[in-house]
Amino acid sequence: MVIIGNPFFNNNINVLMGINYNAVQWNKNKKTYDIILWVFILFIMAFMMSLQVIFHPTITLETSIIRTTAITAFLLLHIILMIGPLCRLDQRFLPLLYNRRHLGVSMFFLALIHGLFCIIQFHSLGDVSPLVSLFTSNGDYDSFSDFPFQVLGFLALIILFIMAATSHDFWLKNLGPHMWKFLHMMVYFAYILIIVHILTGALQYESNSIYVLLIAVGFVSISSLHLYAGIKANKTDLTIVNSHNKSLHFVCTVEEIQDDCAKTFSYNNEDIAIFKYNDQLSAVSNICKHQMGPLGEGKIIDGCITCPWHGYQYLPENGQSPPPFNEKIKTYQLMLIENQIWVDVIPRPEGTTITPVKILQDGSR
Amino acid sequence: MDRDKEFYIGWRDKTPSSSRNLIKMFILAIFTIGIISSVLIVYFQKPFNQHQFTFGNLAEVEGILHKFPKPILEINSGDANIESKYVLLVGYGKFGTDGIIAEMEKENGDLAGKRIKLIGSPIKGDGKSLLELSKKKESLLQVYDDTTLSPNSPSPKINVTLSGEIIDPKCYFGVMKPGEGKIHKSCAIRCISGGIPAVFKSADSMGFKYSIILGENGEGINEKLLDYVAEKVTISGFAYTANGWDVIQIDPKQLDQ
Repeated sequence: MVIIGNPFFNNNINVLMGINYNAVQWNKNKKTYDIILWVFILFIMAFMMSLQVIFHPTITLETSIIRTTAITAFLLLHIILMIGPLCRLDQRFLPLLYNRRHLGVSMFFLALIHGLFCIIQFHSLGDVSPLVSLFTSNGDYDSFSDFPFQVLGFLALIILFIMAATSHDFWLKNLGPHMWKFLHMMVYFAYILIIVHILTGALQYESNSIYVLLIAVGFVSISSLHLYAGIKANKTDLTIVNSHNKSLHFVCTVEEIQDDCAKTFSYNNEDIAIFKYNDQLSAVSNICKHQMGPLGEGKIIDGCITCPWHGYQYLPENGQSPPPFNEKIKTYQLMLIENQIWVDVIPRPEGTTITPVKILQDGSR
Repeated sequence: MDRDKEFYIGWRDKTPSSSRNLIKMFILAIFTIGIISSVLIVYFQKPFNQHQFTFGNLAEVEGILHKFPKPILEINSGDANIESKYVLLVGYGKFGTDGIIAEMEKENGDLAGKRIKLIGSPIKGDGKSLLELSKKKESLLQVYDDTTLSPNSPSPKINVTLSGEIIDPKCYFGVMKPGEGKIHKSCAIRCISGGIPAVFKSADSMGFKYSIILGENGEGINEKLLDYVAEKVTISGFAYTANGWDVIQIDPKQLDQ
């Protein structure tokens, strides 16, 4: 294996991979990302508020803020939900995913402004506390059209808060990737809550069908993208057809794997990526320790398997992040029979060194 | 997925040109979608009414205080050719004036029929005027001892059936936009629960009609109306006019049916 460059002393990667926790680990890409994000947010909000004044000059400032923040946050939520499948379909979208956390936190703050203004406007200065009012003023919980829609928005805001509060790698490390992933998959539940919040709230007042159409376009776009990316991912996963014994399985031929790339496949609960690099083969878990990203969609960069999502790196022969990092993933024993790659699906403990399988000139071991 | 394309790594400063070009197109698309969506969403919104309320813009007004059907200030210009204005009084926040008037009367005696000077935030819309007693009991600036008028006589009662919506007049006539419908339901419930007079908004050939809702004996029945606020309902009762405001007296049990 040849390591090109020296990733171990790269400052950017040091802060990225969680040796030191900073509130924000700024680099040029993150700064560019945030500038574009906030130009977009401020532009859309200013544009929408201007339109409100032009078309509806008697609107109050509070109503304008409530509507503008809600619509901008909902638009951002659509972008957030599209980024994942877009990256699975085309890796050129990966720069969008790299700093998605800032997109999510910004979206939460807009939703929070919307929520606070609504609570102040509609529920405060009354004969019960604002939170009690939110849950009890409208008691029609058994009706769809009269449902107390604010409760749904409040629950969605709580989910978005939990996600924003735990978005930092500090929480990923402390909660563990599975719990962290579970919490952050709740965004889909929040999205559904928000759609029903709009349908049972604003759209019970604003009756023009254009609003239902806009929501439907957003929902169908997100669902279709996820469905298409899922189908495509299933097609690229290999299906094991031949077994040598209980644990040794034929996967593919050497020629089917591009240099510095991987083929992925699943067997029972094992998600495995086989990388070809420097005329040798190694098999590791397909799941990154950071945010459970698809390592098999990454590449060998500077001698390391590099996760496409946030650039976490692992040495292919032992699944260990290069020092000083301490992430470890499972490794798998490979066997090459002529040009056929066979894998033992029983994993070795995380970080176990397995000598890479050499590919000879004629394609066999 | 084309693996031969340049591979993006976030912690490296350089973004591959293939990614950069696609992301530029994506950003352009998002801006375009944002602009088109904004235009559609704002353009097709229901229009807002012309009702007015300027928070913190206090005005001093003089008039005769009437307590029926709810506390109302009758403002008379002194010119017999100009009709009096009847200003419905509401409290600060989501409260009526019952507690405020009671406190004022502790210090000044019965104010009914007395000429007084109040300070508050005017609320105006669709020919109706209201005054928020923003400073609570401090809103009473002066009580004039020159006269105590006897109450105006209400118009004759007629039996009517009206269809429409129960609203809280404070929000509807200017504080909130919109101040009616599902979107405002919880707020209207809190306002009516807090003592702001419940008003029935109905429509006829002359436009909208606003009637203060009372019980069969002229008593306040706000608590019995809360389940029906901001919903389309039909009510029957005796209608008349008292101190410039339409009134409808109903049996609230009819709403349960």
